[in-house]
Amino acid sequence: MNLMTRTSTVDGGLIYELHGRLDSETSIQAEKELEELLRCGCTVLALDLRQLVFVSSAGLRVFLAVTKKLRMAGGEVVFFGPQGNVLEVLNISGFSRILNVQEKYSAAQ
Amino acid sequence: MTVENSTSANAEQKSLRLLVPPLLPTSVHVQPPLLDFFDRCDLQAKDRFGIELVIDEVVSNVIRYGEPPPDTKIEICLFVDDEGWTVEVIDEATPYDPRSAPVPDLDLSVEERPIGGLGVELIRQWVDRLDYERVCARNRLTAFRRRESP
Repeated sequence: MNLMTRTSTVDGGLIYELHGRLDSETSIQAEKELEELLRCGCTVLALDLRQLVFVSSAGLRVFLAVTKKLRMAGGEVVFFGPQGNVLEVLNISGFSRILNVQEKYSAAQ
Repeated sequence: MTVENSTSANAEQKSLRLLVPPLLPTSVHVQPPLLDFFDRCDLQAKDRFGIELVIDEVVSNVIRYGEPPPDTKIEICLFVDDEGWTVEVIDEATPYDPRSAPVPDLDLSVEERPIGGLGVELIRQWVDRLDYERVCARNRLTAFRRRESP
């Protein structure tokens, strides 16, 4: 299984969905797509992790980079719905403490 | 790419050996036999995740930073028995003992956190034992974790 992504707008907020694997290969695709969203002026973003089944440090690198960039631009990113082992990786890396990780979607403030 | 499957009669140990070229992407070589092996071993989701995590972190590091000779292969061996699973990665890249990687400060804020440097830490946290040796000009990394109960 590879990575499938989809971008949609809900209640005026931008949601970037990740389905499948975010590993050392597929993270390159996600990084490019997120950079494109940022280039288009997006400053408030939610990453939907509900269907993400695998993440490695390459994926964490993407999460941290997009958060740094958006916060520097005065924006914010929310990560919502991580499940099982993906949530555990966020916990053991400390990311669930420093990123805006939520169980359910709510627009980033 | 070479795939070898075997089951030893005495200890009910199942094994898989993959030889992959030191070029990205490697998932096309690794994923299909790996998923088949997981099914044969009836591994729990957490064990599958851990094995994939070790392989993704180690193999991508070897290829990106280890400068393995292009005419060599990276050898990935998996051993599964009732006690646990072992992933062994053997390569001819430059010597690198991942156990020497600095432990990242997980309490730093987003602004303070450097990007990267988490791969080895994820492996350390996920497995019960991480060993390394340099033998005959090859790196041999071995990761072991006790198996999850069904």
